[in-house]
Formats: sequence, structure tokens, C-alpha cells
Amino acid sequence: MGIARKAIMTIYTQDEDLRSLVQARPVPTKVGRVGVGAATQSGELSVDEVLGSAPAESSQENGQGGGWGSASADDELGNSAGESEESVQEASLQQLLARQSPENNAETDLENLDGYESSESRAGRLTAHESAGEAEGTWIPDAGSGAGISAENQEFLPVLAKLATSLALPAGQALVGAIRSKLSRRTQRQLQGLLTLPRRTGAALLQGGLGGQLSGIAAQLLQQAPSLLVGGESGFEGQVDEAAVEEAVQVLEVIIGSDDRVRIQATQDIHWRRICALRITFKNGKVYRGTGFFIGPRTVATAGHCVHMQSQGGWAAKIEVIPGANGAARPFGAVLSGEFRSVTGWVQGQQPASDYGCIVLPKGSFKGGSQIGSFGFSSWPAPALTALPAVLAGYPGDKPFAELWGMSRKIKSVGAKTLTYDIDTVGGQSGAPVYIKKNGQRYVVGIHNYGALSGNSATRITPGVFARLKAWSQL
Amino acid sequence: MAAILTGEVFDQHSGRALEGASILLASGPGPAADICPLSGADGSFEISGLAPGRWRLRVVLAGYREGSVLVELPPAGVRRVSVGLVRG
Repeated sequence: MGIARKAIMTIYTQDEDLRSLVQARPVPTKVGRVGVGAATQSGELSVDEVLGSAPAESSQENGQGGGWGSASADDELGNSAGESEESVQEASLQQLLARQSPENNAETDLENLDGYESSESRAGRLTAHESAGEAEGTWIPDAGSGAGISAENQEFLPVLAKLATSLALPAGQALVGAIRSKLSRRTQRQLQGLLTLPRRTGAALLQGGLGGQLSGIAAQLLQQAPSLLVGGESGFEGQVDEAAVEEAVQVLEVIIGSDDRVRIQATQDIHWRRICALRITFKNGKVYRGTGFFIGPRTVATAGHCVHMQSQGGWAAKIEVIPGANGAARPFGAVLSGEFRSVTGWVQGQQPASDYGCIVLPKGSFKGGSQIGSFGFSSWPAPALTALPAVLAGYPGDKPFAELWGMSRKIKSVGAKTLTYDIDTVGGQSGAPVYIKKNGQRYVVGIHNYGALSGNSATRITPGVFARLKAWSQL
Repeated sequence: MAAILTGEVFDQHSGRALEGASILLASGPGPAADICPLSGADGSFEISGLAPGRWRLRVVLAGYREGSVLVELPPAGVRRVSVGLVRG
């Protein structure tokens, strides 16, 4: 078990360092100009990325960013002063759709990948239909013949028709309750998103984006979708038709629950090789998949529950770290580590906001870390966090082992200690970096750790988290 | 309050325990840690810290059709499920 150490950061005591080793060693704790970047005089906090010595293999890199030890005094990113502990800042629709210059747009990291659709393209669909002047209050197209539905989805029309006409009945309410419980969180979230958009935007989205695939019947179903999300007592005591439920779930998952993740195969490129597939073994023998990312020569940051789970006997026994993993390919090899760190807020408090930690690699791993490089990380104020597109990339468990998948969206809300976004994630992506780009530099601003219908979330890099990561990055 | 979900994954045809299946939470009443348990040599898995209510579980293993099961978790304690996968 870990040994509790005296708190260094008095403001964020939940970020007190805890380690997996029985023997405690001093940990650097002062925030200073030791690595790249540092605390600025005004208290702004950032550590720049380090490229690593392996060939870049990326046309997007311009060689800037320097190596470990070259300070960058220009990264003035602000701090979180003035935000209350309880405040949550939501991104506006305008913020979510605003276009960014390439050097401030992490989404450009995913360009040219199969299946990638830019936010600009999505926004274009919306604005084109907005300007076409759809009337207020007509965001659901009239029920029609289904002429717009794609051929492969034609088979679902009878199911949609059945649902659309029955939802208003007591039996229909019971049916939608059953359907709702089976929908994936992605599909539920997308339904919810459609319902919370302004009506004209909803119309544009349906006609411009989904409209090409949805029949009038499907649209009618969507119109009644609030009941899918709200549910409630129906008073219906009859038997729900399980076959109908399964069919309806399949329909909604296929038509609405589109998966916007794209596979990243160039995992040797500078920014991707810092992301690691993790194979985690706890002392009881249970094995898990997770994700981590380099923040220092021998430090891989990850979710706290990837290194310590109370229910599994505490600290992990060992973790295999595979940077730049691409299926069976391990371009940099793999290393086993048994040394982990987390913080009191997670290990002792089990607080989701403090659910972060790190893996300390044996000395000399990956040529001392010089091959791989490391992500920068930064503590930013909420307005800056919702202004720029973020990328989350990791190793999801619904894909074959060690395939790297990523997606980009703007962060939709910023709490005092967490970030929430509609970037699709699946189990296995815990510990993935949530990063943004500023002046061509990539900065991790959150460590992904939870999935939920209300939005997937990360531990936000607050000044306290920043200080802890910085100390760990120098191990 | 939090519940623990345990279970095992097996080959529907032979009854043999299946190792290395990914256990994924597709939907549920609360947030879930995005870590991915793998079934062990005996096919067993465990997910802890789940809110009570109805969770949908996906089970993914190369060479098999994806499995899905709906589980109602109590406010606390352990709930056990078995998931049979069909080759395909």
C-alpha cells in the first residue's frame, strides 16, 4: 500500500502525492523553471511539449517546441483566479462552432484520417440551412414516405412507423422506458443534443445532417424523443414487447448513434507516439485495458483508477506500457513498471475529480524517454478551455487491442475540477490526454477518466494538478 | 451507494470460459470509469463503483459476435451475470 506524505500544496490537499512503493523517497514539489515552461510571474502555469529524438514522420510538425530543458517564456495562458469552486462554464453554440486558426486548432491533428469530418464541415451544414430560412417551429420535417432514408436502413421503416404511432399510448411509454435503458450513452446523448438545440438549428441539423438518412417517420419518432429521455411512470402494467424494444434500439443506434472516432495509424508520429496502450494487472490477478501519455522522460500520466483501485486491492501489481502501439505493432517496444503515483484525493478519498496518477518507468526505458518526447500540460482558465477544439485519443476496448482512436470537439462545460465533452469514448480510454493546441504547441488540459450519458469527463488540470504533474514529470 | 458487477464470459456452444473479452458499459444511470476489464482465464470479470439501476453491458472478443446484456444493479452489494458469446 502507498504511504501518505505530508501535503505540499495547501490549497489542493487532495493532490498530495501518494505512491505505490513502500519506501518513500523525496519528490520534487516546488514549481520552478526546471523543465520546459514554468510558472510565470503572474501565476500562469504550463509545461511545453517535448518532441523526442525519434524521426518525426509528420508533415504537420515544424520543428518548433524545442527539446527538454529549453524554456519557452511565451506561453502566457492565464490562470483560474476568479472562478469559484462551484462555477461551471458552458460553451455557447457560437463558441462550439467558431473556426480556429490551424496553430490553435488541435483538430488539425486528425485531418486526412479516414472517416474524419471537420467541425467546419459540420458547422457549414448548420449555417447553410440556417440561412436558408427555415421557419421557426418546424424543426421536425413532415412525416413522409421515407424517400430520404438510405437503402441499408430501409428495413427499419416498419419499426419506426410502429414506434411513432404508439409512443403516445400508455403501452408506448413503457416501451420507450425499456428502449431508453438499452440505448448506448452516445445515442442517448445525441438525442438529448438534438432536443436541446434551438429549434431552427435542430431543423438544420435534421435536414442537413441527419435529414439525408431519416425518413419522415424517423423524424416523427425523434419528435417524441423527449419521452425516451425523460421516461416516467406510465401506469402501464402490461408486458413490453422485448423484440420490439431490441429492434427499436438497433434502429436508433444505427441511424442516430454515429461513431465519430477515427483510427490513427501513424502512431510513430510525434504527437501520437506519446500516447500509450496500457495493460494493467492488479494484485488479485484481474487485468484491465487503459491509456496513458508521456509527460516526462520516464513519467506516463493516466487516470488514478488505472494505477489504484480500492476494490481490486489497491495499487496495481504491474502495468505494461506500450507507446505508439498500433495493433500488434510496438514501434518503440514495451516496458513493464511496478512504480505508480496518485494523490490522496483519489487513493484515500475516491473523489472522481482527483482520479489521476502516473506510472514511473524504470530508468533508461525507451532510451531514457528521449525517443518518445512528452506532452505539454497546462492549467487554463475556463473561457480559454471552451474556446479551442480539444482532441482526445486513446485505446478503446471495443476495438482490437492497441488500436489508437481519436476524436475532436470543443469542451462543452468546465467545472472547477472537471471538464465535460461530447467526445466519444469507450472503456479502455481512461487516462487518455485531452489536449488543445495554442500557437502550434499541444497542451494537455485534462486527463480522461469517466463516461456518462450527460457527457464524458476528465480531471481538469487545475493549478494543484499542474503542480503535481510537474513534480512527477521530473522524476 | 455503489454496487459491484461480476460475471463470466463463456462460449455459448462449448461452454468453455473465454479469456481476454473486453467488458464495456454502454449505458447506465451514472458515470462509469472508462477503464476496460478483460475477462480472466476462467472467464471472470469485475466492475466496481457502479450506481444502482439498469446498466447495459457489451462484451467484445475477436472471433465472436458482440454480446450484450441488461443488468439491474441493487443499491449495494454484488450482482453476478453470465454472458455467452456465439462464434461469428
